[in-house]
Amino acid sequence: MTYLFWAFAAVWAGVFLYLYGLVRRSRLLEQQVEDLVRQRGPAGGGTGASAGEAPGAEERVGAPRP
Amino acid sequence: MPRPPGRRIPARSSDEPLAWILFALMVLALYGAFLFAERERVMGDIQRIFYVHLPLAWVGFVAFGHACWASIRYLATGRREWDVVSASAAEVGVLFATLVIITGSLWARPVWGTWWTWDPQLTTYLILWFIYVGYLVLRAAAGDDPRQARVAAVFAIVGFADVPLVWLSARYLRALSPVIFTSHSLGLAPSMAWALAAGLAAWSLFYVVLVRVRIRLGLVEAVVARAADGREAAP
Repeated sequence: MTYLFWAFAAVWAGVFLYLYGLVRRSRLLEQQVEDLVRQRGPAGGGTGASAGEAPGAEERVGAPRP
Repeated sequence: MPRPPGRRIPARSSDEPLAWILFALMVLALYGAFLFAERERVMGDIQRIFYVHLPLAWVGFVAFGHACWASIRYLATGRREWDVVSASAAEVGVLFATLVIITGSLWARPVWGTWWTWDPQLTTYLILWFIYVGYLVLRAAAGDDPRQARVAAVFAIVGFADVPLVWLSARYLRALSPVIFTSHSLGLAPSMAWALAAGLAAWSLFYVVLVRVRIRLGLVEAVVARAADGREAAP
């Protein structure tokens, strides 16, 4: 049972570590977007949206579906 | 005003229902693995690792196939979006392949008496893992250089040739891993087959959700990098 426990624990630990890495990258990206918007100013053409929404959610960039 | 051609990046709104279905399937898969599937007579409870080990291996193969396909599309069209898809699929594939190796070792120790053996299937699988880790290193080193990105794409395509070798080594070489699926039978008791099916469905959907999130992140990163460089995003 010890090996069984560690096998499932390793799987979920690996998955959550990867998800944590994605969240960190996403936050870094949001920070970059905010910095860009601040540098360009309100009329500078920045999107002003967070990494999760813009330009991803609405903008068409020719992205293929997975 | 008409929108320019191109496909929409998978939006967050469609992820939420998928996440709930995934949650339900994961609970079902865990129930199947620990409670529904009968206890294997020879190995005992340790055999329950199988219900996560095999689905992870399957999804890993799918991910590498996805990376190979996206790399072919990238070479054919030159569109960086396909490059992002390939890198995303390979990254998730390497995650799953790593978990396959870890769970396999934890299963092998009490059953075979060793953490690792240079069995043909295990060896070819380890080679596959190294190939796609190498691809990710190449892709990261390539940065914005399309020439190096194309070299990395060729690496991802050629590397996929190892997948059939892993599959065939279990059947035609002296592999220690049992062959479950044959043309004659499933080789599993019905409760075990149902638990395996739940695991396969749950981890396959998990791949879809994870790769969508990862692709979206990659695409946004590419747009932000272009904006940071002061370049115009491609229409």
